[in-house]
Amino acid sequence: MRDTDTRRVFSGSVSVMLRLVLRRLAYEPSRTMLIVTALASVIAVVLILEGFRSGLDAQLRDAVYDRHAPLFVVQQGVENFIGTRSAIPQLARASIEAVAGVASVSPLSVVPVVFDKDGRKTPILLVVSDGAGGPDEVLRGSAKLGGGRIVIDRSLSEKYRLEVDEPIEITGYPFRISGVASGAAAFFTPFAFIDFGDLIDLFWALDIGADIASVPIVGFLLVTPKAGTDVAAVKQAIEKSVTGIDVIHASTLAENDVSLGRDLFDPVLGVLLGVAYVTALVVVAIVMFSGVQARLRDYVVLYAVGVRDSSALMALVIESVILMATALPCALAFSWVVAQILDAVAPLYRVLPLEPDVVFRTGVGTVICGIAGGLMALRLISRIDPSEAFKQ
Amino acid sequence: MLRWTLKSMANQRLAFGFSAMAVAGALLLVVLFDAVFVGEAGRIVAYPENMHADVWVMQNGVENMHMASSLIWDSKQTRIERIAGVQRVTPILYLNSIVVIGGRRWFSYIIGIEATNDRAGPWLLEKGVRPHNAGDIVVPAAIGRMVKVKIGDRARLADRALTVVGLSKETFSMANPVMFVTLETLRDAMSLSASHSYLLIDLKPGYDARNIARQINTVIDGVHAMTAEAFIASDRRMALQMGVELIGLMTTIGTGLAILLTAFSVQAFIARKTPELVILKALGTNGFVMAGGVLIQALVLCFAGMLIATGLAIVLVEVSRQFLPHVSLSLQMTLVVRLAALAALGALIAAAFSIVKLARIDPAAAFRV
Repeated sequence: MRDTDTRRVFSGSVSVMLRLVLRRLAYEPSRTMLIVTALASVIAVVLILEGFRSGLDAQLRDAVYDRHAPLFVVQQGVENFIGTRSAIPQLARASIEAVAGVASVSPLSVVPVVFDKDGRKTPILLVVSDGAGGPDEVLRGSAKLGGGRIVIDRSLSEKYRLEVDEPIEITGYPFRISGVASGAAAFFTPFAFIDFGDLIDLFWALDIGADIASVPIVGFLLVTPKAGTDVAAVKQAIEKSVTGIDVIHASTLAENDVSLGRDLFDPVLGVLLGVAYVTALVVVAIVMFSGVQARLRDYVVLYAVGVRDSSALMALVIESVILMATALPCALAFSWVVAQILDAVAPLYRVLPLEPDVVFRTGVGTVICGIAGGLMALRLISRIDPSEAFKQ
Repeated sequence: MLRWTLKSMANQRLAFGFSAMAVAGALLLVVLFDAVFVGEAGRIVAYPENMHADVWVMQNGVENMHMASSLIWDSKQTRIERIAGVQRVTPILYLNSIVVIGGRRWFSYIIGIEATNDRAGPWLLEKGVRPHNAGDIVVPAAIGRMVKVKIGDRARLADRALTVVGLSKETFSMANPVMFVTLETLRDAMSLSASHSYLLIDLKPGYDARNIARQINTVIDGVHAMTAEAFIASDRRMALQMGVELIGLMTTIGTGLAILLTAFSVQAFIARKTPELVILKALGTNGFVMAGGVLIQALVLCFAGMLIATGLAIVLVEVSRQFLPHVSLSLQMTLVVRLAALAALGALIAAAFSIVKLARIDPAAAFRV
């Protein structure tokens, strides 16, 4: 009987508090908007940072997957595509082509250079191919390489206002832009695509041509097995028949690169995310704190009529979760807008705030912040003296 | 009004403290982002700075070491040595690649140095010796601590097995830790025959580096010579340029957030103090004076946020130095000045929001209760 009474009082007080909360939010729409905007902004910052990390991963994966080969042949011991140097023995290609089940073998190389124009320097990766493994998505112009043609990433095109058919100098060697590619960047570095003939011409022009004979120009071989062939079996067959190389699945190579990126950037992003979450927590606490202060009289009266701490706590937590739940969609919208602006202004960076894992992590984080913020505000209520209600 | 504002804020220390912390959080994001890029840029140029060469010679068309590749014929070395004023030419081979140490992959600057020449190797060793033999590697002591690697442990560059013979100081950077091997080890790993990447030129006393660099560029074809000063500045500039857009974006986001939070805090303050403000207005207090009070509050809040953010940043820099050697943070005075400007701007905009609300308060409300 006593339990039933307690439950009734409890649910009754929560519904009273909820009504008060909702009425107050509706009564002062400008204040409510400001609260939701403040919460949404701080959640958006978390989403942007989480989305930035997700974008870094996606760029590193795409750098491998956009080469459209299930198997990559690399120098023995090499485990990455980005940030590494791989050198394939000159005769490896012919040996691999002779392996049963291999449909095609295409050479690929990645050469880091620094592009310098108008006093601004940008490190770029020259992706050298014979066509296969070249630009994946060309926005403007064509993907055709050779004869001094180069396809550059959109980030480079927009940063330097370079367009199709314009001349461009890479380390002093003249190229002509044949196309502008989309999403061809990773590791804070845009890609530019040329063919092997132009790479050799570039080396000759730079007066290092005489050493070419001793430099293995091919860094990777992209292997496509014949249709219906077991990829793992082809991988094994290549590794058995050719020495000095390793064969890696595209997915393994991509995940190795993602892991390298995380090792590099996670310490910093982790610190920034930590600061963003603490800020979110403090903002929720202020919002709840100021809300409680504004309704202190209501709480005094409720305490005077016997409402307990647990009811007040429940009401506070519900209020903060309602506010967070209202703010989250706004935060998603804000972060999406920022991601679009960033894509327009600096397409080198990819921010993916709406990825399911990003939204999930941030959602969980904000709910925890909401609950913790509500608990922090409880401190204020717990000091209330119910007799205050009878003093005025 | 000033007294009333300050007293009111003092009476609500907890609310003020929370608000200042929130503003500080937003500003701290800006500070940390900037500090990371400045810190990394500083560490990225650690190698060329510590070599104290007068002139650097590299492949034509190259002006950097960071994220660059350079190959020059070894025959150029002999020709440069003959130039009047050149005391010593030290070749290095350089590769930006991945070294596996302690089971982790490290994206590194790998410097190949002559086994018998002390000129271009690690400048400060914590333990061990410089690389003398094929397969020797010197790694940053910070990496040694992070992955518990000691002298005699194994490392790997592609398929080349290496042995850690030394742990160097001042060579760690999150983006590019510097590792040292012998020239022959790196040549072998890169399958090169007789090339170098860079030549470090030391001049005889009395010779001007700019003149010698100009002379090398004129006399020796296929190379590019730069004074060390210009070379280091070029690397530092590029490292910082890589972060300019991101820092700009984070500054905009952080400042916007700080403005919003200040506006919210000041509005909440006005909401709490509305009964008193109504009476003040009814008693004929000048609107400008009241607006001044709001502005003062916003300024105090923003500057408190700025001070907390700066203080926290200083603490974080120290903490990262002690416990997170892989995170390089560097605080600049210019950043604190910029932060102060941002805080002032934030306060002005936030106050403008609240002044509009203040102006709407009806003094007649004082007589309705």
